[in-house]
Amino acid sequence: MQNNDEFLAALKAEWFKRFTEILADKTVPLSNLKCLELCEARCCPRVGMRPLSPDKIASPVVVLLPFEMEYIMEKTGVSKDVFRIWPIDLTPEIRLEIGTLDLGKPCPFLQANHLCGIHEHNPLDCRTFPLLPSLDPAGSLEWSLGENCPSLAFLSPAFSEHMKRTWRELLPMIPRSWWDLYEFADHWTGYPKPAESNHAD
Amino acid sequence: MPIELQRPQGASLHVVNGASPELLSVACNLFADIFPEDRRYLPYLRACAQGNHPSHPNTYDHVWLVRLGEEWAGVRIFSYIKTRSFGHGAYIGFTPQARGQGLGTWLVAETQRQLDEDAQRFGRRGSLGYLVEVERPIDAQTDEERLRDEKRLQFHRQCGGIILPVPFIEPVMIEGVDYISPSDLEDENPRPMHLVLVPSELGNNLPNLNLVDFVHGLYYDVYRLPKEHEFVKDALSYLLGGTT
Repeated sequence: MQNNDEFLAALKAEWFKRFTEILADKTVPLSNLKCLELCEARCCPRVGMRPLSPDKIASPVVVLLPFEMEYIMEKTGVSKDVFRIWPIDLTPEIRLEIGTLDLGKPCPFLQANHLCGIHEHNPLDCRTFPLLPSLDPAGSLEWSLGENCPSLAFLSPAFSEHMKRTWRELLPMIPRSWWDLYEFADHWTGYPKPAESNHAD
Repeated sequence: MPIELQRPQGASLHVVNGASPELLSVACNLFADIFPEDRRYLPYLRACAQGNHPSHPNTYDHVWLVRLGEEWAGVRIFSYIKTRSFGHGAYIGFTPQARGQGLGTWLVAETQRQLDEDAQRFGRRGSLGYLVEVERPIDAQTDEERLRDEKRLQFHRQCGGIILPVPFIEPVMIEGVDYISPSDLEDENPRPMHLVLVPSELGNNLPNLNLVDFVHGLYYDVYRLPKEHEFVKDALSYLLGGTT
């Protein structure tokens, strides 16, 4: 048990170090996205998004990396309750809790003016959008684009390449089960309201 | 993505049911060869071949054989859950010489087609796909087991499978069946497994999967666990907290 605790503490420290490095990197090229001009917070899971038609939603879910929830909690003081938490098991004895935001647990950091209230600490998933990473069957990164992002056409290639490099560097640290959760998030918008169900009819 | 594949050359599907004792015998022998560790579940295969076994009141069961050329090559056992809009894939397996020829993905596509037909037969618009329980590579005791488990999981991923983020424990057997006694399974223990949804086209287009329905469908309607069972509570603990 103590070994597991030590392992988790070391892993958490390593992730915190990486998040700090990523956030402190001032060499990131501008994304060139016209978020404020064109966007209506379509990639932030938020109150009022559920009834929107699918073409008005760019992303209804944010999936945090391992220990990113803890990092944000430490940096911003928010409680764990604001996140939806999913388990991923690294070993039979070691479980990580991964924080997500969705339409049932909307982003608590989005301000009324559509600005991000924690931009200096915001999740890598948010920073990367509209780039969407995934794993191919061989375990290599592949990329797609969030097609409903209204400023997609303005996305800077230099920014894209920078973010892809950031993810490539993180790849060895990300467990396969996290990618499974990320894949699941494509089919998840938040805990359903009572009227919604799996029933097709 | 939904799978649309041509039938691999020389392959054919054969339905095993009460009208075909010879095929049932072939299916049992093949099952025992492909899944030697699960031989004690042969009565389950025989029950599923009846389609509507009284011990499985909520499912409509199928047993299929795959023939490749002159050889029996594979066996498939799955069920449509009549009380839901999805199915349960219990077994899919092939002889070593039949592997790697695209039979698995073809059989998955055929399974989806059958479940869709079943869904319509039971008054639904269509099937959302099926759930399958897959061994977790992290529980493997040896490298060989781990590789086997990773391969199995990857097969389901390549068929479009979505690994659901619920802590799932596989019960040893369906509750209250009349064809296996608890003493036959006394060495078996519930095991943690990945719960994977292999969605149909309809399921793949759902924006919001209902995990509660999936967990309830498998535990209550297939395994017939009592309400408030700890496995149900555990599986939904992250989503619902203490309520099931």
